[in-house]
Amino acid sequence: MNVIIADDSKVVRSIVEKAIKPLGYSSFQANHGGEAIEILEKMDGKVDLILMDWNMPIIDGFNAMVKIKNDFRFSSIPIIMLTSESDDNKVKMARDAGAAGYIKKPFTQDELLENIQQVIKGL
Amino acid sequence: MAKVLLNDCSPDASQILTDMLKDNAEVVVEPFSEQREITEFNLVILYSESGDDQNILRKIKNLHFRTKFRNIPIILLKAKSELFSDQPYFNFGVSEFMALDEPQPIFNQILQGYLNPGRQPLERELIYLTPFIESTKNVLSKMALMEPEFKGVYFKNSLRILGDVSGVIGLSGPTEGTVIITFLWKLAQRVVANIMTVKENEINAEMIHDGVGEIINMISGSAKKSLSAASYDFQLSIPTVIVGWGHELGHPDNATIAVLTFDVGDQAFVLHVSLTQK
Repeated sequence: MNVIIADDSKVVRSIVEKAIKPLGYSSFQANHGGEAIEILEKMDGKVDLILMDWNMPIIDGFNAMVKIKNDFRFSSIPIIMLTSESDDNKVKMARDAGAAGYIKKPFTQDELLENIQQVIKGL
Repeated sequence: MAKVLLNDCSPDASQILTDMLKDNAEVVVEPFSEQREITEFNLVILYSESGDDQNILRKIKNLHFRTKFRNIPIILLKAKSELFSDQPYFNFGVSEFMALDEPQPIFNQILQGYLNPGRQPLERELIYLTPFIESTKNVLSKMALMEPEFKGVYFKNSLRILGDVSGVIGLSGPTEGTVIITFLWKLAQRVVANIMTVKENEINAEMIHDGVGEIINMISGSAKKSLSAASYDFQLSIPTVIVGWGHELGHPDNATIAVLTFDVGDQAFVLHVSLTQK
């Protein structure tokens, strides 16, 4: 499985990468939403999952998700928002825009993996 | 009764200070010691008869570390005003510098002012402070497997921050303000190492910079839900990180700055919260 981890924090990208590695996932790191889209283009859409932070510079995670969901080449790729935005409005906004999951920071490794596996199972 | 620690005081200085403070404070006179626990005191006075400011500044910085960010003013006292140089004493943690040759009524008034206990948070302030206390504990517990202990809150008017690294996040919208977490370098290194599950010596400055930014992002983000329910609505900015001793930061006009102190084992960190509702 190819997974894009889009987060402006290298620390978060590193802990997520470490957590999913034992599952045999290959990860690709993006510093913001724009980079996530660039990776998608480069990989010709051969990506199985995107973990997307919300607040990022250049293109934030929400806007990147909207662009991805509106692009027929990528629209079926599940996106899990991985964000410190905790209020219910943001969760609803993300769901309405097509997010397959929503993981709130802070998270434990178990919570992260459980959420990822739920989304994968539901595909 | 308040407790005052007099460090390195000459017999004359000790006598004068003890006479001034005896009615409303317990006075402890001791030589300066780098290991002395000082969080039990309400005020520390460091005395020096010399002009050797490098040594004095080193002692002040050490005292500041040992206050663990609590509201414990440090007064630098010299025998004569002329012994003060143009050193930036405040940048090292001094709240006031005074000389024994100053008029005694003024001297006494200033000392008594520092003994006044700060005010307690109002109920309306606790409404927005409590979510930050809870989210700080939760973030460090979940991400760094640390159990910080909330030690208390006090208020101040300026945002001079005497720590090594601060993560800052701006809040905008109907509620605006700033939330800042400040660590000494050693604790920041430990926290980030725990988050990344690596050894402390593998953590470099870039990781601390990034990690501290993410910590303040998570603290503010996870407090947001409870705050929104209490009608404190805001958007979060992208966090910024400031490194360097004695940095100063802006805050909204007319906003109170609440200082929340936490201990983690034998170390401490602090969260500054300053909010206003439009």
